[in-house]
Amino acid sequence: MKPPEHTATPGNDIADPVARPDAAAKCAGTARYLADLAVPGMLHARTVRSTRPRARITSRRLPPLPAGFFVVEARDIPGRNRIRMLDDDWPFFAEDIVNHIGEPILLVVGPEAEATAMIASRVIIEYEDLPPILSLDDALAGLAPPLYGEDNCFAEYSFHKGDLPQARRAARQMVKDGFSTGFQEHLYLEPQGVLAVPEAGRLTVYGSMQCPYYVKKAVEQAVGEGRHHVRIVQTVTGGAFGGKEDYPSLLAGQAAVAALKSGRPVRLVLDRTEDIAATTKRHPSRIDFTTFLDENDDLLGMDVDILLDGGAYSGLSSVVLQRAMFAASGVYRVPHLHVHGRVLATNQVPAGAFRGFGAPQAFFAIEMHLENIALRLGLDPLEYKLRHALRRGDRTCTDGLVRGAVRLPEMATRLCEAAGYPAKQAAYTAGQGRYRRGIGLSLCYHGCGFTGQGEELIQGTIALHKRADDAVEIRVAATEMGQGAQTVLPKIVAHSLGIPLDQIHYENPDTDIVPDSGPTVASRTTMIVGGLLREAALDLKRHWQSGRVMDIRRTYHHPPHIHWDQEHFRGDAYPEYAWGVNVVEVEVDLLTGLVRVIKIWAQFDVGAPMDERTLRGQMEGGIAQGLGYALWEKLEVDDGRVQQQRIRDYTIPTFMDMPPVESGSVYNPYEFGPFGAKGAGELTLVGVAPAVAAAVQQAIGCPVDMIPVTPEMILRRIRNRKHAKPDSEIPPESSPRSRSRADT
Amino acid sequence: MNHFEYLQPTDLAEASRLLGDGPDEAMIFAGGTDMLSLLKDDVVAPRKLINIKGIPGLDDIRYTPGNGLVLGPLVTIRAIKENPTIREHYPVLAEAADVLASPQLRNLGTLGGNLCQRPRCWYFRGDFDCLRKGGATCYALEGRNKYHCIIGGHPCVIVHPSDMAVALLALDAKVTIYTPEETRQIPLNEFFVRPAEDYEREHVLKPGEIMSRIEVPAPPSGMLSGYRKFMERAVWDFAVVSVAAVFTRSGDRITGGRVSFGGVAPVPWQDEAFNRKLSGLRLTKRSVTDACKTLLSGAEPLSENAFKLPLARNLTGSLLLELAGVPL
Repeated sequence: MKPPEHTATPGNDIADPVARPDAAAKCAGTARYLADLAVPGMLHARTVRSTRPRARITSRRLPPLPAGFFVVEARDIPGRNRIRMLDDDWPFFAEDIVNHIGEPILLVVGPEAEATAMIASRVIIEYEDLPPILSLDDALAGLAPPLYGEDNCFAEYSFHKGDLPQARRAARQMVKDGFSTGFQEHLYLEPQGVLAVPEAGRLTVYGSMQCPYYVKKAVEQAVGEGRHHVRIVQTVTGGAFGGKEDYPSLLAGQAAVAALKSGRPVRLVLDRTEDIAATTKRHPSRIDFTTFLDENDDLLGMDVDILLDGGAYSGLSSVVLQRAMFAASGVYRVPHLHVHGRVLATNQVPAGAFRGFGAPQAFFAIEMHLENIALRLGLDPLEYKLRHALRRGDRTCTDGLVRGAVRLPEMATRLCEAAGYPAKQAAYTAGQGRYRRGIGLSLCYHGCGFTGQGEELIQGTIALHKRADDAVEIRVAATEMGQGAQTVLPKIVAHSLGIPLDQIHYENPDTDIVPDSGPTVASRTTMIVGGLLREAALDLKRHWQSGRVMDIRRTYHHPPHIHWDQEHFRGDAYPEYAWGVNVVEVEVDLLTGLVRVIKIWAQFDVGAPMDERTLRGQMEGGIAQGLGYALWEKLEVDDGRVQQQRIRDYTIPTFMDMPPVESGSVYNPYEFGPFGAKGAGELTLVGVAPAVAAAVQQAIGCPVDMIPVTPEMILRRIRNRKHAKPDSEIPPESSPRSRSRADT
Repeated sequence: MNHFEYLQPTDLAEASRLLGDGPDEAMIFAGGTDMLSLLKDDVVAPRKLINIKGIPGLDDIRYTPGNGLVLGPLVTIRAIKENPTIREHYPVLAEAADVLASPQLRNLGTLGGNLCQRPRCWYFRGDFDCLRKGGATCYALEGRNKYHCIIGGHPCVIVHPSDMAVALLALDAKVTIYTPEETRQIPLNEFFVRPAEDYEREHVLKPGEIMSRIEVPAPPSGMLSGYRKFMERAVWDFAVVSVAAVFTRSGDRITGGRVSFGGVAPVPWQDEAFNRKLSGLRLTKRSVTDACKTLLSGAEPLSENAFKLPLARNLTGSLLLELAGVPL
């Protein structure tokens, strides 16, 4: 790799890595995160939370409040006690009903953090319990009164392609499969926090966040539209992974109301336990397939049923479900398709945005399903998958056109050669001894930009401001949260303008300065926001007048060929797709059930990388988080209560758990992306779990239909299988041909 | 976290006096790797912390051939891990230190603290008013109990988290306890308290008592020993199950020894019946595997941790055979 350079001079490849502008302060410890901020007169807030999954609050008893301490609750909200999101069901503070353990009821606010926490711990809330819905099974059984609407369903959709009943009649074979996944916790290193500062007629909220304008709208709704000038400023954000897409809106609204009530700045920072117990998680899922094969064993039709657990409030669930549904048939050509999806409400911590946004659940399921079909037919999964993979000119599951070149076949073939996949696939099935190897493959895509009509609805707007000194300020609402926006966007502008990188300035967004370029989500920042910046920069270049102040704005509209029918889910669900292939080799110790990941090979088509090293960061980070999802990360909610409340209870992989990763990207430019770029942030996580699960499945010779694949699950499956088939090839404790770990 | 007074005595008598009436009044602070998180999580709230690191002579490692090993309670885990004498004569101890926590924690954590650390049960450490914290319920019995005990539990089903204790137990170590009146020595297996005796404490130290020394007998010639710890991650994890084995052999038979377990019981555990059978056991794959089938036969796994039984048996069998050089 080339040494980092600080300037990208014209003619340099934009992909050449540069030093990250945010790196030095983060490494030196001088970056100021929200909890490092203190302003004169600042008060501290501590949340009193529901301890019941579903109940009516019968009384709130406060301990004596010393001078300067006060509480903030629903009735203090001057505006509406609803967080502005897609729907209108989620309150900033519970009113008379609580719907999940950890739901905020009130804030205790005061001048000293410790005393505030002490008082908060002495607030007594009395409840009258109501029949709760504690799981998807409860929700399906429908015994308790609905939590949302009449059917307890946050969203339900279905879409069709072709004629599935006809495919069912014509089919030679039918294959059924079912898969499930659990909650996943983001575990960003910096817990959530906001600081609300009131000034005459103005209210500024600083916070760790992904989406300043979501927060702005939420705060405006809380404090009353038009009554205060609301300004949102993103502070240095220590990781987010989607977890700071939705929840900062709630915290900012609460802190804003507290700041208005007291007339003083109020800081609200969650501790780790609160953050794990109360903020949004990845949706648990159950996905069932009924697939029909024709006389050539080809995919003829597929009926997919997706069930997501949305927790207590709708949040972003409806769009998460849509993304899961548009990934349900994977990267495959399925002529006759029916996809049905529901998100049910339960009295659990709300589910929300998490890197991949419904796609990781769907890709785990569809990739395992295709793997299982291939194995059942006695075919090589690679061959079978590629045989059905979408090609340029094909129609997607929603009948959109695949416009760009699909380089999956060469990516997969090259990767499988590097990994020795075909030979290992054949050899490992007949493994012997204590340590068993397995190899798994997954193909995936990720739709770049918002799902469906999202980009058209939000119409992201960006601005470039050229100063008199000829430096150029990027004014976008896109946030740096570790993913590299502050590295990539300035490069796009510098390369477009043909000026040195150090002439470009890009501060953390402040809604008084930047237009609403949309949230920092959905792998849209480089492709959509970066694309607008490139257009604006080219325009600026054309009109460039040295020494003059110039301002340029651009607003996003889909390229004219993109069509989408939101009512029937027909057309181009995404403007473009990024593609990925993962191959994972594992070794499973049959004595202990321990899975050792030997190596991961990955290839991605992100159009064109805007910075090789930043892309590497996304690839290795996405793979690490995907590995955690596949093997370790288990967040269980019993009787409505999150059981793993600390970092030590929630196992994410460490550096020592990371296998060697051989990853790379292919160049496949997208016409409407800046310098050909597509999205890269989520894609890298999406395909990991199915490749790991397929590898483990092969190694242990037992089906893997849920993640995480834990040692106890492996031991149990091997055991059950032994009892079912006494002459199984898996040895009871160890076999004569087993070898020691040191030999491997 | 509560406010506390921080005191730094320079001898055991003073430390003992400062400890006063028990943990509500004062607690010992050494490496702090466990104490700080207990304080931060409000699991404990002593009025005073007694830092004993200023007391001289508590961090010695002394080995005398024929007499064995004497360890001070302030010896760090890293010091044990890196001590060539311990690596040579007591591999089991060094191996337990090797896989303990992380380098940062090993630098700070002390042997005494490791033996006296509190359980890792997520209900005990979390926001649950559990039996061990004075509540009425052991939440793990009906709750998430994958990491809990399979034997010797009830009414509280924690596991003891120490790696060093398991290794020392297999080595038949003894603990010296300083009290203002006299200094007494007890076998390590009498140091730990089972929940059936008292579910609010894990060891026998009474108010004012301080562990002052750990003694390990001299290794018999030809002693074989080793430690195997099953962790889900490669590092920085407590044992799901761990096993320490110490034995001597003559030809293809074990002539005496001891096996002990971590992660299976509320105290570092020994299966007495199995240990009695060790002497005379043939070191062949078949007889070792057969013998291991009866290990922990009194186990009563909870709803989520039945896997620990085969795990413990499998780990023991493979460890004995590996140490004996018998191909697996």
